[in-house]
Amino acid sequence: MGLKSGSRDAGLDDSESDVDQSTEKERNTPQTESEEDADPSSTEIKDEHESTPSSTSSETESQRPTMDSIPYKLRRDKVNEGREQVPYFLREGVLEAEDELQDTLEELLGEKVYKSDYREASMVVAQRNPELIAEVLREWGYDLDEI
Amino acid sequence: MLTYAPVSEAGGVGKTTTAATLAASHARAGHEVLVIDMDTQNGSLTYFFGPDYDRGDPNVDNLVRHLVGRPKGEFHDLAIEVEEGIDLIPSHNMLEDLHEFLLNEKNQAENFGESYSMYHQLHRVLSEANVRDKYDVVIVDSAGKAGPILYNALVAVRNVVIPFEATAKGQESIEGLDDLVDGLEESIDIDVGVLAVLPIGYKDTRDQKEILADLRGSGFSVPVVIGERGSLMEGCWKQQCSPYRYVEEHRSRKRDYETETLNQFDELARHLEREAGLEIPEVTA
Repeated sequence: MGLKSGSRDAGLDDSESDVDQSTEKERNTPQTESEEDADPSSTEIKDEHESTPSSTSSETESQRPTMDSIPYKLRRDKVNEGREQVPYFLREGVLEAEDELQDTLEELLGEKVYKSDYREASMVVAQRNPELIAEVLREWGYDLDEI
Repeated sequence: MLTYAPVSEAGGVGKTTTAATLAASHARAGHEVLVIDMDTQNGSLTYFFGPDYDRGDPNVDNLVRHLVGRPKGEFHDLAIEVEEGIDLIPSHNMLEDLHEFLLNEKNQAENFGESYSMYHQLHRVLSEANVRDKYDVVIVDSAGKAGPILYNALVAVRNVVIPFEATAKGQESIEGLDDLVDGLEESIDIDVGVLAVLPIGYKDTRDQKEILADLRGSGFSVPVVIGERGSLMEGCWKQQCSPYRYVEEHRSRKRDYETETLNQFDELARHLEREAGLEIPEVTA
């Protein structure tokens, strides 16, 4: 182990080096997974099932009332269980207003509310109320003819 | 292709001077040499060769931009010819934040379901730039401490030359390096070869003789032993040139012991070239 005498090939002489191949391979595997859940409408349902050990294998046979009946917050082991991290681009003002929203929610619910939770819940609200989203998007300049 | 990094856990043992002197020797033997300065300290190769370059200008294209996949131009345009046959990729102040930049890239890649190795970026940059087509020798002068800069350097070159002070402190630093390389091998699954250990500032005392004997007994290659050459090295730093040029252009008379030192560096350079199976060019300087 450790320092050994002798010369090593850095793999720079050959464009198809071991290092390159291994990184390529790693890069390809997770992509196939993310393609499967590309349908945004299925995210909410899938999250709930992913966090139950018995139902991870398949998405299609997932309607199990017994598991669904336990609320997500109570059956998960950690806050972001079953969640996939996605990049979210927010303007400064919106980001700052998040804290305010958190305070309000904590007051309403009488307990601590995690950022991950109210963020995902916001998306669920949006998905259930597309007309509200359209309203904000119009404020931003979508659908200008209608105004 | 010969690729290596002079590494040493202890500071001030002549890592940069070794890199610069060996680079000059390879070049004078007719090889095309690329030296990459990844040392964040001011007394680095970039200062040593002293090209006209502002390492603090964040708008200028630099190695860090290439490492994080945000280049502003071609990799080869970063190189500055500092002596005949030696191209230098200069250091840049952005290197100080490399760890943070790489972490950001890693997070971003993971957000998109891709894997990302923070330590393979220099290797990627050198491969993509096809340095093999242009250069025979690549030397990376990196930070001495374990971290993403050193790891990127080692993954890219895979070989080290260890400048070594024949003192108890030097002995410790070899043991420290041993741990460091162990850690590297465990965390990113590559192995690193020691091309040579280079005792520098050697005094022929009984203590130092013992340490040298131990070192030779440890199985590492010790092709040459350099004595104390303080004034030569200081002169090089002052004139910002390799010791070869310094002796030729800035010394009014030749000092035998200095010529001897340069011959020793030549011997070491030939040893390294042989280890890597480099062909001897037909034209020699």
